[in-house]
Amino acid sequence: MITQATMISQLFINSLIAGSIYSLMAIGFAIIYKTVKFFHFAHGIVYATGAYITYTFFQIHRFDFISSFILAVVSSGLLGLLIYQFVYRTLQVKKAPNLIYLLASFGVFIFIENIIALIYGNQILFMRPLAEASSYSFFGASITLTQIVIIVVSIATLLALWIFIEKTKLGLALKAVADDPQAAQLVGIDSVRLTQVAFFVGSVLAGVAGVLISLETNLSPTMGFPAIFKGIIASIIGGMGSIPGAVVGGFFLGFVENFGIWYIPSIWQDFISFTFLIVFLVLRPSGFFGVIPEKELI
Amino acid sequence: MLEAKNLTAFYGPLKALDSVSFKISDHEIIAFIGPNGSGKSTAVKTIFGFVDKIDGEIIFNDRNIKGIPPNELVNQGISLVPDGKRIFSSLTVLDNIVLGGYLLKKGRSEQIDKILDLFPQMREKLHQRAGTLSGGEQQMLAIGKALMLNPALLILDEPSLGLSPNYINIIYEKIKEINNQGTAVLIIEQNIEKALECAHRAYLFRLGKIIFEGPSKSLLDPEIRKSLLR
Ligand SMILES: Nc1ncnc2c1ncn2[C@@H]1O[C@H](COP(=O)(O)OP(=O)(O)OP(=O)(O)O)[C@@H](O)[C@H]1O
Ligand SMILES: [Mg+2]
Repeated sequence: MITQATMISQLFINSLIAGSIYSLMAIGFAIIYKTVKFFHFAHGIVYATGAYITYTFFQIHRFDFISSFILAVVSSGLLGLLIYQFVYRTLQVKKAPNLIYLLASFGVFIFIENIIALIYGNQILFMRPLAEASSYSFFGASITLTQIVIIVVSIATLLALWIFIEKTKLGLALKAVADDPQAAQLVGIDSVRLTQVAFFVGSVLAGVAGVLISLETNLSPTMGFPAIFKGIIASIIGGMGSIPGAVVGGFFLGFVENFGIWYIPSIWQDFISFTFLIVFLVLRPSGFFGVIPEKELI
Repeated sequence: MLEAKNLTAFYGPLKALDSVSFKISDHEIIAFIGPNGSGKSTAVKTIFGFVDKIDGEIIFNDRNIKGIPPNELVNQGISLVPDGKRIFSSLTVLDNIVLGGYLLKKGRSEQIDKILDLFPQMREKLHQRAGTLSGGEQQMLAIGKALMLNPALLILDEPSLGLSPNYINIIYEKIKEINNQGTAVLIIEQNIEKALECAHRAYLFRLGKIIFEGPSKSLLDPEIRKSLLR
């Protein structure tokens, strides 16, 4: 029999897992947004690519999981970097208006989504590298090794990112470019190089999220779309462009979605997220972390 | 030290600077004055490549520096404090100063100490967000940040803009102090009296051209400036 306590611990675990993935997506998106000030929507397809590359190495080429994970994450970073270099950078040189970046970003998203569908087909794929391992009990609820790995790796990644941003010279330079690219150049920072760093790091985070989610759920070419939406919502709830905000927003979203189904059926999960998005946009557009909202959000 | 010859600059199709030549020697203080929109800021933006197209020559210490990206130019000894927002307002005062020395290979903490000796007010505010400083403090921070690399030439675009008379006096005191320590200074100013009082030589801009150059004293009389600008 499922007691209320068991239910709560199960929902808690589910919230943590969803929150970890949303946070990773939101932070990557936020780092890039903060640096370039436009919506890098194609961030969602970088996430999907991360999942598919893991699948390719692990399931098709039979690499061990750790190597597949590293290869996928690095490739995701490089994919983000390439998107910047060949699409956005070109537009920046041409001084394109902000809306163009959003359109280009959708274009890149759909282009890569189609390439994935061409290579892997539209059917659902899955891999379960940790499936055989047993599950553990957590305050009455059961948690699998896969779920522990997702939570631990996410938190470790968030910590590593925090150290990078707060404790390294490159992290400080990244904050300087995000604050004012021209002023950054005037202290000797190469703004273009640092924007490349932002895209690489942000995309690595999307890659980590993509790999982790593929341990538990199925892969499909369209998986990037809901992921970037949740990332953007989390990012807005947390405070657009704020990195701590993205973490808080991500976990907040994970918790309200999962505990929300206590009251309403689970097919309404997305409804819950969008409701919170609208509530925040109307009542508190600056999100949890009260940064002044950008005049031009897109 | 710095010499610009027949400098012409464009914003898109707009010619904002029309064949101007100027020269700054070691240890000099130079003032650029002239009406709004006459091309003073453009003249320094051109040095840093912040315009769309440039003709002419820019020589710094016998090297042609035209087309060198700003992040490399600062490493060669020219620092610019642009007009308007000049600091990283979301970062702390200390982070701003540290970033000023981003390119320093060594001696960063000694340099930070030197800057804080010049602007002792900043010492108590090191961990405050720079955007919360007063206008005058922000200008001091901007100048301090620009001095971190020990430039041979410091360029200040409207350093007194929006400051109280008290702060304007302090800033100009500091400019003289900086110059006494061997840094050449180029000041662009609306506050003409203050700039001319401080500078050794001045250039008068009008409609993208330099229409007069000479000792600053020769421009102190407003009647003379009026007749030149007619
Ligand atoms: N980024 C820009 N794009 C297009 N035109 C510009 C730009 N910046 C300046 N201009 C134009 O170039 C001309 C010279 O401007 P500049 O800013 O150099 O004048 P200024 O002498 O510094 O004036 P002020 O005293 O008002 O600062 C003006 O006609 C101005 O409108
Ligand atoms: Mg100006």
